[in-house]
Amino acid sequence: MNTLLEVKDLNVSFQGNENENKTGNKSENKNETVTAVSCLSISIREKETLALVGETGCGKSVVAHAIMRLLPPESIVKGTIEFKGKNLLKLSEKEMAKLRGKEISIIFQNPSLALNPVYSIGHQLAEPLRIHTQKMRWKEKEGKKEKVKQKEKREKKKENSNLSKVSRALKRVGFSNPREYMGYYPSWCSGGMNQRFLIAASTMLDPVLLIADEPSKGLDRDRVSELENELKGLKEKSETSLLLISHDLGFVRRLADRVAVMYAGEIVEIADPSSLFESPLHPYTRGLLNSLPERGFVPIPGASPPLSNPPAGCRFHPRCPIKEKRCTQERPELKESNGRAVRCFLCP
Amino acid sequence: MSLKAENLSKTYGSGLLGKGKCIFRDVSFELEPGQTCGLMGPSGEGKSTLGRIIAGLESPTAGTIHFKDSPLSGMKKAEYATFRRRVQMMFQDPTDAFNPRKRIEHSISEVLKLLDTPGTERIRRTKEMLKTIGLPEEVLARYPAQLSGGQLQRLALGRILLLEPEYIVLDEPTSALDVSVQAQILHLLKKVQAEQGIGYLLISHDEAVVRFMSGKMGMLENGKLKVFE
Repeated sequence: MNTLLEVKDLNVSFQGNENENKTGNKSENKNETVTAVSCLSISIREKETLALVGETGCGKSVVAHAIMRLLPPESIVKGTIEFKGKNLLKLSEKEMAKLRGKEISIIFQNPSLALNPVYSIGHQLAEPLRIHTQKMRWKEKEGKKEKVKQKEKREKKKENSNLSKVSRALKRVGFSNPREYMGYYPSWCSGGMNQRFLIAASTMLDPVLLIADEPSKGLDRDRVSELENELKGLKEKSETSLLLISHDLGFVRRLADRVAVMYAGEIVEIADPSSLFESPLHPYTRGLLNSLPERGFVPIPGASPPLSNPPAGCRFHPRCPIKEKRCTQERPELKESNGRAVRCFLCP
Repeated sequence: MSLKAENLSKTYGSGLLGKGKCIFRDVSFELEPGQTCGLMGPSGEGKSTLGRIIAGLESPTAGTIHFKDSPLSGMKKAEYATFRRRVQMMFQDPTDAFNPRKRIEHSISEVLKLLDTPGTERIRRTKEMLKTIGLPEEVLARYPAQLSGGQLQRLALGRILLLEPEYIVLDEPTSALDVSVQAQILHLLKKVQAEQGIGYLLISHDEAVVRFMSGKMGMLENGKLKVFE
């Protein structure tokens, strides 16, 4: 299978801005640079589901936003993100806008906030269709009166076809009478419904790569299993690759083809789900799995380090139960063997 | 010494316009100090509403709550104030529980000011509380946005502990947190319970969490409460 997306040595950092200095703790925030992601390399093949797991604040969402080029302007992004052979970081905003929604699409976390409260669902779902077909309309020459009538007719037709496309998309995510739901507003609907609207919107144009950023967050169990079926169906029906970002390990295990574990802005382990969940190598992965309910909620001692000031050497060493002297001084590299990769001196 | 709920019912939207929607009917149970009672059920079944009624934040449509053998409705003002202090509630999202524009120190000391604690005593108790919840003193100078969800949830619990509660209603205390942090918070809750003998009403949709924490479990479904040990 061909590689669809290749991220190489991605570094994302944010500079503490002046506004923050005024309100925040002056001595602490001065020139504070937060390196949210450091030296991250991942690749996604066609039709593959890669999951990115890790604690809140470890930089998972930053990776997603870097791929979509949605980070705020004050962020410093280094490295390469190659999508179908093109470096996304070098594209102009206009070229990027053409890709967004059509080739690469994202489902944001917190569905109720990602939808606009003042537009109806139907209007918002038709947005990708409107934006990515607008170009055709620009090309049409205006002026001649007979043509204006024809144009109006054509536009009406297009609107109708848009509507039927939207209703088809809604049907695909499990709404039996889509015409009714198209008139709804986000505040009328539950979180699970809004989540499905978002999935419908982001898969409207059959993107090659879909990024799902914490899609299961805040949904209760029934909704999560519905969502799981949704994403499974999507993978089977279309040829979409999926970058699944989540901290819900059970959800990841059932969906992913490969899992990358992140800790404090770095990838610490990459493996296929069965070997990762059955024989985790990195001490952090082991700790993470031990804190699962089925393994008796054994917590990892301590807390993850601040990204503005990560510890020297291995970033996990202050919490690691098996650390050696070397771990506190040298930074381990990501070692690959037998299709697995792990960032630890002490792992085979 | 227990907190008893008798035949609680709650109906929303009942008034001149219509009959309203009955959320639950005839719910009775008892909370003992030092023990945890789990409350499960699908979302929208009124788990949180029941929790809020127990904590005195909402009033039931019918039924009574007995705190230390006296019914809530017949309480004098001072008695009711004690009840509100002794029965506390911890919410799902810790970021919403703190004022984003104030330092943590302010949000914490607000509670002690309310109890008319003198300055030196305030500092001592805050330090003691931080030790219990396992956070360094530096966090006091921070803003809520500078702390992680796990740290904030610890602080939310710490702020409650300053009031020396006898019962805490935990409304999905870990569902906004990561698995690793969830385990830490659950262990902390158990530790605090063992030390101070607080009774918990744990509301959660996660069966594993409820099983880990509590001996007694209730299931709220279709407006009825089923209790099993």
